[in-house]
Parts: sequence; C-alpha cells; structure tokens
Amino acid sequence: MILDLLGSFGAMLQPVPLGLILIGVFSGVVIGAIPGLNGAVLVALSLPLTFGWEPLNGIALLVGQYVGVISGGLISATLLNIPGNASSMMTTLDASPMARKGRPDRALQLGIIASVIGGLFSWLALVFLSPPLATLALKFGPHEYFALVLVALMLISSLSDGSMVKALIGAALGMVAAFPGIDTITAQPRLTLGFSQMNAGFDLLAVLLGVFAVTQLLADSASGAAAGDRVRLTAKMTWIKTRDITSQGLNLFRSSLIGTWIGILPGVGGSVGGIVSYVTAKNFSKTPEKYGTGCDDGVVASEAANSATVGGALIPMITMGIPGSIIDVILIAALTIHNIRPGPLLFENEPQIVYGFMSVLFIANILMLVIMLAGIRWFAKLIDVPSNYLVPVLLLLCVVGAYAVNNRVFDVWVMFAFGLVGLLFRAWKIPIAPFVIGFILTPIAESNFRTALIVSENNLVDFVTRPVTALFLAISVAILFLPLLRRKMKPDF
Amino acid sequence: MGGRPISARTQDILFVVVSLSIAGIVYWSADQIPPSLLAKISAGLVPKLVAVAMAGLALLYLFMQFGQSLRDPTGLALNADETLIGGDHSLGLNRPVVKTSLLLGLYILVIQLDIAPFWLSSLAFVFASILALSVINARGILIAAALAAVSVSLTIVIFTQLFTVVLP
Repeated sequence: MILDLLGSFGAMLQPVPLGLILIGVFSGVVIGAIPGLNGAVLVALSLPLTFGWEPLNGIALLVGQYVGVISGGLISATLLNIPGNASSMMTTLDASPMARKGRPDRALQLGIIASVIGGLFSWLALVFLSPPLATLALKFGPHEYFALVLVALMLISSLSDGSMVKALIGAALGMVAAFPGIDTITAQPRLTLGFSQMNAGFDLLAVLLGVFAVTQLLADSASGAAAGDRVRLTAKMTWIKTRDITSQGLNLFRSSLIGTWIGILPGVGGSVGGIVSYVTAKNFSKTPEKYGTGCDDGVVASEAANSATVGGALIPMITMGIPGSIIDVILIAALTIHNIRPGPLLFENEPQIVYGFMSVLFIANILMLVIMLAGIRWFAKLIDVPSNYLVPVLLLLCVVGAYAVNNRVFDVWVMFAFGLVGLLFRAWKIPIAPFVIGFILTPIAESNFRTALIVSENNLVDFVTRPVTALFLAISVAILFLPLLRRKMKPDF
Repeated sequence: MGGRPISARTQDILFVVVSLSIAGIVYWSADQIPPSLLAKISAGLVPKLVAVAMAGLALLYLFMQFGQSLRDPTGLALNADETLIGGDHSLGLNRPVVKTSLLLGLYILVIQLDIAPFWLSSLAFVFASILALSVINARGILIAAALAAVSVSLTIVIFTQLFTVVLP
C-alpha cells in the first residue's frame, strides 16, 4: 500500500495535476472567502470542465476546490465577522473578536495552521482507517444518529455565559425556523401558513446570510466609515511562534478527531463538526469564559474540525460510495461520468483512483497552507475598503447569492427578514450561535427520531437498550447540566 | 447618535411577549396538521413540543427577571451578567441602520415586482446606499456612481457567465 501511495504522489506531483490542484485550491479559497458564494456551486460548475480529462486530473481540480472552499471561509469570518460558509460559522465567534483587538494576522495564521493539521489528520484516517471506519459508521442507525445530534443540540447550553434561558429560547427559535416546509416523513405541509413558497422551508444559505452577513452589514452601516471598524492588516505581520501551536496540541488532536468522525457520518456536515468541536473545547477548557472574546482555542477548535471533515467525508465516499456531504455527491458524479464506481471494489478495480484521492488530499492541504499564508495580505486588500463603500457592495453580493440558490426572490426576502431578526437578537442580547445550531440540527434530529420510532414500532425503550444510543443520551444529559454545575462550583457563588 | 433607548425592563417584556406569541402561533399551526397513520409521530408533534418548551422558557425568564427586580428594585443588576457570545454590542435603531434597511427592502421589492431591469435596480441600490452612508458632495457622488457601476457589472458578469446563474 505504501508503495502504491508513493507512486500516486509521484503521479500527482507532475506539472499538470499539480497545477490543477493549485488552481482548485486557489479558486476554492477565493470563493469560500466571499459571503454569498457557494462552494458546492463552484465544484458543480467545474465538473463539466473535467468531462474530457483523465479522471485523476478531474479529481485533482475538484478535491483541491473542496479543500479550498472549506478553509476559505476563515478569511471573511476573521476580517468581516461574516462566515464565508456554514463550516466557518463557529470560527467567527473568536476569530473576529481577535481581529478587532488588533490581531487579525494571528487569527488567520492560527486558523490556517489548524485547518492544515485537521486536514492532514483526516488524511491519515483516510489512508490507514478507511475500511473499518466506514464499516463502523454504517452500523449507526437512526437511533444512534438522533442521539449523536442530540448531544450537539445540548451543547447549546454551553454557548452563553450569561442568560442560559435566553440561549435556550434562541435555540428554540432556531428550531421553529427549521420546521416550515413539507414534512419529510408524512409529506404534509407544516407551518407553511398557506404560502406555497414555504413548502421548501427556509433555505440554509439564505438564513445564514441573513443572521450573519446582513445583520453584520447593517450593524456596520451604523458604525460608519470614520469609526475605522474595518479590520486592516498592518504592514508588518507578526508570525505566530511554534509554542502557540504546540500549546494547542490536545485541542488540535481532539478537534481533528471530532471533525474526522463527523465527516464520516453521511449527511451531518462540516458545520456540525465545527459546532461540536468548538463547544467541546469550551467545556473542557479551564477558562471557558474566554471563548467568544478572541480566544486561540476557539479558532483552532473550529478550523481543525471543519477541515478534518473533508477527509472524513471522503472515507464513506470512496469505500462505500456513500457521500458524506453535498460536494461528495458531486465527486461521485465526477467518478460516474468516467465510468468509475466508488465502493468496496474500487480498491481492487481502480486502486490508482483511491490512492489518487489520498495523494491529492495531502497535496491540497499543503498548497492551501502555502496559498493562504502567502496570500493573507492580498486577501485583506480585497476587503480593505471603508464601510460606507463595502456595506452596499456586500449587500448586493448577498442578495445575488441568496437569489442564486433557488432562483427565487422569496429566498432574498428570507435573508432580509433574518437579517432584521439578527439585529433584534443583538438588541435583546440573545446569542446567535444557539439559534443557528438549532436551525441546522433540528431537521436531522427530528427525522432520525421519527425514523427510529418507525423502525422500533413506536417503542421508546430501544433508545436506552441500544448501547451507543444510551451512551450518547447520557452524555447529552450530562452536557445539558454541565454549565449549571460549573457555575455552582465557581468560588464566587 | 442613536434612536431613543428602550429600558431593559421593557425590552425583556417585549422579548417575552414575542416569544410567547411565536410559541402560540407554532402550537396552533402544528395543531392544524391532521394526524397521520402513525399517530404517535405526527408531523405536528415535535413543533408542538418545541412550542411548549419555548413558552415555558419565556415564562421562566419573565419569572426570573421579576424575581430579580424584587431583589434589586433599582434595576441596575438587570441584564448586567449577560454577555453575548460572538457578538459585540447591543444595537439600537439609528438612522444609518434604518436607511440601509429601508433601501435594501425597497431594492428587493423592486426585484420582486420586476419594476426595473435587475442591473438598473442594483445600480440604484448600491449608489443610493453609498450616498446614504457617506457625506454627500460632488466627489462622493462620483465615487458612488463609479463604484456602483463597477460592482454591479462585475457581480452580473461573475454570476451569469462564470456561475451560469440566471439573475432576475
């Protein structure tokens, strides 16, 4: 296997595939950094370009874009307080405050290095653990999925250092926002209030653009150009020290592990990896109150996890033909177009494809490190514009981005409405993270819960008799009460 | 600069009223869903549970704030311990926010009603928004016009040609 892998590296380091990986990573980073532009759309639009290519060249471009898109969201999350994509949502919570305190280069460097380490960790899992990990993941049924997502939902209680009740109400509002639409199990319209446009529910991108981008941009319009609120990188950049990374060793390992595992689970997504990793890091921290104020740990936890989901998601895709994310669906389409069928026989029939994925993922992560570190100054220039000019242009981008998802003006209205909701949340001091987590996780939790009940013939006992489910449920109960216990144990209580 | 400040107590009451209203609407709407063959897991079950939980949390919050105001009649401690994870400050409604929001809403309405070509409405929006947030003078108007033209052109080209998106 090692010889085959080395041979694959030799092939992918040739000028043409290497150049395609470089183009893929660069374009992915740029698109990932711009709020309103969807990384999956970039990969989908690049797919037709690869029709006449060698399969490995197509894989080089598309996997490069995949890696770049996930990592690119760090840039706008840090410099604009707007996540470039759903995966970098949790990064915003600490990277932006760190940048506003005058340390944007530190936030970017930490995020970039954490991304690379997370990506390389998941690469190791892809290379050495693909078949057993994929088999284990497939043993997860709806009970286990529900319990796992419930753990992530319960982590909401850790996301507010102030009023936990407000955080939970925020989460409940997020859940309510996720309900409208056609019910996936009974196909009944639910909470649509008679509007046919609501049958598809509120689109995730429109909601995220609203609560993050539009809210932030409207708030920026209040602060004005003279306030100098736009984060600018200083001419002399300070490089972080090796000990800044080594001190994050445990955090990096844990976050990469969480991200890899979440990535392996089909349909869960990179944003969940970032959420679980961030809140886990906070719960295990000796200084949880620093999270959300510009803490190194928060940036590292989120970025390591969301990059680790890339390699994790490739594991079921390659070994079982099951996509772990939307972009994996496109990768499967790319293979299918070339008459290559992902699955258990891929290792036997087309080993060069398997090793091609592995070598491209490694090279793409290294190139991402180089491109992003070298390009920090240039990326900053793209958005180094006064607020009174930047806000209208970015709002235009958001409107077009929201419209481009489904070609509906309704989605633009949704984005606008949630932008106003975000302003209300700020005025009422409701943290936004629980709202978004509730919105993202509720459909997954509910559909698995109800599917589990169908499978168990409405028997709730199965939730405690299945060992993995019971374990996750116990963890979720513990997590729910952990912040309360922590506060009671503080000396000043 | 800023709008008229609303007292913390009034904000709390508003917050509770809005939460209870939303919970009520969700519960009522979910209750309208006819039961499915598998009645225990009807489509309305989970929304109703969440609505009940939200109403309970809102009332709990009101009770906690009421109890706190009895202990601290001056109201100085109200919301004192609340910090916002990932947020920066509380935002009141001030003129630039209102202007930008109105312009954005108007822009979306124009797109919805197809009153003007997309490029024209986008141009007008960006131009007007820049002017609304800037000092209006000859130089400012020129910069706003130039920036609007460049940004709208680039956006349309990138989305329609590169991403093959069909714009309104």
